[in-house]
Amino acid sequence: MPYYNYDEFRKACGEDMQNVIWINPVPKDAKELFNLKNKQELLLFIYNDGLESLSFKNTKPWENNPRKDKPVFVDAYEFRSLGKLGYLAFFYNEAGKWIIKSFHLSENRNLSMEIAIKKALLGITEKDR
Amino acid sequence: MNEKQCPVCTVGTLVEITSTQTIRESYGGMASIALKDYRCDTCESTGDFFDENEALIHDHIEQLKKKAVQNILNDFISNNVSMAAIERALSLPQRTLTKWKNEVSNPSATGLTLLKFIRTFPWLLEVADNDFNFDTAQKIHISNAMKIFVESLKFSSGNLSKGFVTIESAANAISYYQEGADGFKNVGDNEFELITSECF
Repeated sequence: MPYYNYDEFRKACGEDMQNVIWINPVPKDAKELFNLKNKQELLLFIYNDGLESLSFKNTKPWENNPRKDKPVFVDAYEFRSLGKLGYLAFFYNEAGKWIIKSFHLSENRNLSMEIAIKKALLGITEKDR
Repeated sequence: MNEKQCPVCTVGTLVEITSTQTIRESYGGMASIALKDYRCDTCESTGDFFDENEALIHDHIEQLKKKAVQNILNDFISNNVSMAAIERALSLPQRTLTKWKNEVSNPSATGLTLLKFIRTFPWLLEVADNDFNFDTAQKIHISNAMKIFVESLKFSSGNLSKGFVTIESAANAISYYQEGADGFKNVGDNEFELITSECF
């Protein structure tokens, strides 16, 4: 069960960008792994349902939270985009900001899914003849 | 004192740090940019918390994209492929590429991607020139793939006009494509003699 409402996060990415913050190493990972070169590109990708087959992974306390009396929880999701399986982690803080903590490739890289995607792409060629 | 509070943990104080980011654009080269980031002294988060680098990064990306357009078009021109011919094959309005090259106008993201595709796979121009006929396109594709494949093989004689392919997978691939076609002679189990390179 996710701690936050994902749709609220997604809407903020498109409609309230000022209140979404990406922290390192998200900019580098988004650029190098997903070709999303700046914050706007990443947020609009999320807002426009770029994260396909989104599945909730877990909720964990934010380990760098300095306020031990006020726990902050981080929701993590896995998603697919073409042949890539990605990992997203975010949280919402006291100041009303959404913080994107992680955006990288998932460790659970699914090879059979990648093969299926490649087959599907080849299938487009056949179908359109 | 002009201390900024960390917007991530809402507790710590921010310290300004500088970092260098390298931006790469395919066919446009790369650029290193000095960026201003922040580091929280409490939660240790780092990043561009106030979007102060966005405009700078955007400007550099745009510069590299312009460079990519120049480089791609110069590559075609230096290989005697005229911009008028490309425009004709791709059904682009005449002088579109000249305008892009002279920066009279800039290509859209789609236009730049198209340029990158034809630069990466120049034979796509031939496909377009054949009105995207599926069978012709497949032949052009396979012919080009085979040419690259054969050139990548090590031939025993060191001479492309007469050599022997002895790798099982390579022989199977050639068999798959060129079974019975001119240019190859089957000389035994999984062995094909390349008798000419002219078929490519």
